[in-house]
Amino acid sequence: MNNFLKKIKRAPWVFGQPLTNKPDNPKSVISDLFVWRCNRDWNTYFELLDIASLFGDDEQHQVDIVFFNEVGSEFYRKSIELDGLCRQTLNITNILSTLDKLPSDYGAFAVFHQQTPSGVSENGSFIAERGYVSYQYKGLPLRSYVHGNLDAIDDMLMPLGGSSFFNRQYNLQCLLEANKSYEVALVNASPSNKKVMFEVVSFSGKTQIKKNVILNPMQAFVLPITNLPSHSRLIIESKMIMARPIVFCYNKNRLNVFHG
Amino acid sequence: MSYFPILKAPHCTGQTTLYNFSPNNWESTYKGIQSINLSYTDGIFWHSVVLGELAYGDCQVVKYQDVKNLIPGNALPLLSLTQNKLDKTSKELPQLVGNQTNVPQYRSTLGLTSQYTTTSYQGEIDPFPLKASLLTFSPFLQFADKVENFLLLLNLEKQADNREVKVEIFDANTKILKCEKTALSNNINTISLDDCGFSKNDLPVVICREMAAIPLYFSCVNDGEFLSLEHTHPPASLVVHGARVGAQKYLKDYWFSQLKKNNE
Repeated sequence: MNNFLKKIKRAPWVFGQPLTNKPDNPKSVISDLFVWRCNRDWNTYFELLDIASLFGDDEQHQVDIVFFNEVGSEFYRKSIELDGLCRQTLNITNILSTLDKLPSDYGAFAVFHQQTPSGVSENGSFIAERGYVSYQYKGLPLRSYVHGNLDAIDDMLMPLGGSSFFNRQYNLQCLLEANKSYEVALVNASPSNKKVMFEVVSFSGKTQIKKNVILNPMQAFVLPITNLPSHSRLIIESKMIMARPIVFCYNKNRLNVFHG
Repeated sequence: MSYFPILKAPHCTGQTTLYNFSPNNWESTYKGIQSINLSYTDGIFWHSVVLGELAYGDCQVVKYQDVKNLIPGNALPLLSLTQNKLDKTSKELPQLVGNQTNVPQYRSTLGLTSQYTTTSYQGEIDPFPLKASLLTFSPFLQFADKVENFLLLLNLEKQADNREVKVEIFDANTKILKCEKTALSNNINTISLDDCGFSKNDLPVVICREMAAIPLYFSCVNDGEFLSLEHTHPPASLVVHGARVGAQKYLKDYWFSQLKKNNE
């Protein structure tokens, strides 16, 4: 009975509300929406794996990288030949430096592999690039890596993130320390605009920061969190199924980047 | 309900931050005081002690120094947050009655702290099946002056013993075995990657045919002045929807046979 009641209570939150949707076209390829940051303080890198080669296909493969600006519109696209089973670290900053002027300091990007191994499509699956971005801050000697995690967008640029009937909270399980600064990056991977409320609250329940934004599809937003008077935590409220952010934590010119 | 390990790595000590609040507001969870437990194995039995309590809505940082006198020297400290009392001694890893969520998973902050800075990721660990294996591609090595690169293999199993297994590290392109190490179950195993002879264009592939593990990659500069930490995905994450398990099995079969063939 207890389980039955739990299921009834849960139904309005899960019925018809998948975390992500399946692409309509069975030949689609999928990518996460990664965050790029490029300015005098930031370099962004991407570790490109040749997924088809990992499945044993030793032909020449390519990816298309699509960049979105600060409002979620595509502003640049580039095809890149893959190096097979060698490591291939893309310097995103160098790729974008070929443009006359960047539209913004940050945005989202997606990586679409052009070849799907036969074993993958035969199983009704899709290739998904959810790999590894690294960030270099102020020329520091180490880059900070963070992995992708969401099947966010297909190669027709259709966002695949699900939408909730009701506002739901993502309570970041991370202690925001008073002596450190943070930036929290969130991308809207759903096909509709989303109202998002960021609220930083102390552990005694006092609101420290509150910020409301509306994010277009594919739009990345970075919220700075500084000068906290006490240890706090972050709540993100929206109709995204899972508003999982990337956290950039700064402590005396040192950087720690991680997923929520 | 998952365990939350306290990590260890060269030049650093581990610290884990536990949270007694749900990561969302819609999956049903217990909203009350929970016990903070420490569990560890001595290689024969699991042992558990209560470290304290955590009020609902609160968090608690537990450092390796806080528990090092309670466990054998090389044991992996495992924290948990539960409503139930764990057996003081057990043959199998204690079952936890605590909060569990799926979207996202209930996590803690697993950190490594040097005298200069901290690096962390949001994580947890559940016991792996005894008959499992590891295949991971690892593009995280960093190359610069005074940089050290380590693989931290984190394993947890229900059985209390510390099995010794072989870890093989290959170059994905040439399939040449670059180095061979050993690792223990129910432990965090530190493996230096700097003596494997990789260059920046090599893609390391790490396999363990007898044990699954979470592969963490840890880099540090100048004895811990700068730190970096992240884990790689299991091969199944390369595909979504459909028969993902089939894709993982295909990749493991393919790579395990390829890597065996070249080194027999």
